Amino acid sequence: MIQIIRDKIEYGNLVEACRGPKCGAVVLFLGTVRDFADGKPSESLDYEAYEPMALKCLEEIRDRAKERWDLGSLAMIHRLGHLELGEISVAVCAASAHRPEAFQACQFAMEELKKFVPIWKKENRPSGESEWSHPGES
Amino acid sequence: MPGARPTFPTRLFLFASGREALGKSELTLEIPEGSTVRDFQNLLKEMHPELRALIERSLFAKNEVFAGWDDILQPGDELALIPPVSGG
Repeated sequence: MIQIIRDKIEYGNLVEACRGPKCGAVVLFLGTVRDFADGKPSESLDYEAYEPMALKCLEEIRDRAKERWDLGSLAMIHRLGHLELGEISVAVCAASAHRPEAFQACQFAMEELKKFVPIWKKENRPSGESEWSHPGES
Repeated sequence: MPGARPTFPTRLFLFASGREALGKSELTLEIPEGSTVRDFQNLLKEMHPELRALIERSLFAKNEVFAGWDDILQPGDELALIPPVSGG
């Protein structure tokens, strides 16, 4: 399951969709909106994406993970739009027969997502200012 | 200019700070036949010097796939300016 959505991420459903009798290990990663970013307090976030390309990139990450590890399933959901502190922006669930593959694949998928999937977040500061996050800025 | 190569329109999608800086989510540039992604990048910097710093830190996508700088653009290709990503 690969999705980009605007509603709340129902991670319970995601886990249930990944689980199964062949998988003794299920790892779930949740990324949530934190109250501090780039050394400054943050009040909320807005996410946008180049959606058709982002979906293709997520599918590519899943396919590469499945080539590298013996997985029952790997699912990724990213949320777009306005998110308040504590809300879930991304969920990755990996299921496999044994735990090393599930842990490694889950971390791999998340790291790859952060490297190249065309999704961006805007930090809204308590001061009323807001700024797009483009890592590497000097 | 006499002998100038024929041109064709090419769409560019904009996101995040690029979209906000220009106040629109896409634009179209006329580019000469045989132009590469690098040529398009240079033309975009000339047309929108206010975006120069962002453009220099960004990649381009062509038809929803990351493009190489030497890729030659064809009529109908759709480009996107992809600034450093921050999903997750």
